[in-house]
Amino acid sequence: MMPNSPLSSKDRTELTYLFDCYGAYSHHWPEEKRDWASNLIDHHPEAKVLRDQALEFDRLLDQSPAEPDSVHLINSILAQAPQKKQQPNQEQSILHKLWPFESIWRPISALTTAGIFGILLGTTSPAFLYQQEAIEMEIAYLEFSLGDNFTNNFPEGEID
Amino acid sequence: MARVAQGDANACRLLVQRHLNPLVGLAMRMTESKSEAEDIAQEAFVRLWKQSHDWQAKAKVSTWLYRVVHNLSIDAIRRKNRQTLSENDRVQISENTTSTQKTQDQMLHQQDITRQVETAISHLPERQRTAITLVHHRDMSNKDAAHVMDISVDALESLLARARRSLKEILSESRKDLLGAAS
Repeated sequence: MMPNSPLSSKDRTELTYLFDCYGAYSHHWPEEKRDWASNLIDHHPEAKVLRDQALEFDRLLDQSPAEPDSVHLINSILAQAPQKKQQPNQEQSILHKLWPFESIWRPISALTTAGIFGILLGTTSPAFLYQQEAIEMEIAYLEFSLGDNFTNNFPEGEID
Repeated sequence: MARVAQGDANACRLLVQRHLNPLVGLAMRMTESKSEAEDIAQEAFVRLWKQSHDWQAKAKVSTWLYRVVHNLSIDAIRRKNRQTLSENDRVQISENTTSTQKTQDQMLHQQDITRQVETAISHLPERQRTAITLVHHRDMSNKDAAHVMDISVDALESLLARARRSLKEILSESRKDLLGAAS
């Protein structure tokens, strides 16, 4: 390519279209066009003029970056972010293996309540139960001994 | 994204810090309302959090976020009548997009340039605004921008060319003044 040679009509049209679409910043250009466009700008003053015109306009657009300060939103957004799960310690993991369903405190509290109820029943009720049982045995013994209700209907006949 | 899915607070914070303002900017360009744009950006991140556990490694987070914001903005635009843009929001656009200035005079002049450029951009059709924002202001490749907008690269180029042509026309009267100040 000859330096300072005029741009071909095709190159001029394509370069103008590139600047019309993407402006003058090379990082905005499609990757596949960068080398080609840079080469034209380096070797053709006309291409450089076109680029400079586009650059003026790009700098004007840069005056309005549209990045409003919204830092006040950061905390409310982060409050909804995923939270780190706490690592269960060894004791907790053993309990989890024993009772993998829900909170371990449910079965433990049920067992404890049943145990306490059993102990209370065992320590308070036996006196009454033993007493009743002894009376019943005594009545049975007396009935048998004295024969008040003794049935005298043996097959061989009444016993005198 | 794996770290985000595991609940790594630093990874989440970095992601939000990097992408929040540009996403709000795109949504604001599209909807012309800052409050709506902020809602949209928040919603995009909430969707990202939900998606993080099933994230596919090949997907690019930034492109995914822009696509969600783009789609949510389109939904928002369809919901409201765009002619009801309040003057308050227009002022917000200008106030929130000013860059750093050295002196008060420069600051005022800079604000004026920003306002004029932003107003010119706001006069473009929504798709042209989106295309120019993604490619020029977000440095997105033509393929990624086309993917975000769900159009072909040819269609994107057509939008970009028309957008730049329209902007040149809109800004032509004050262009010399603006360019002098911008350089």
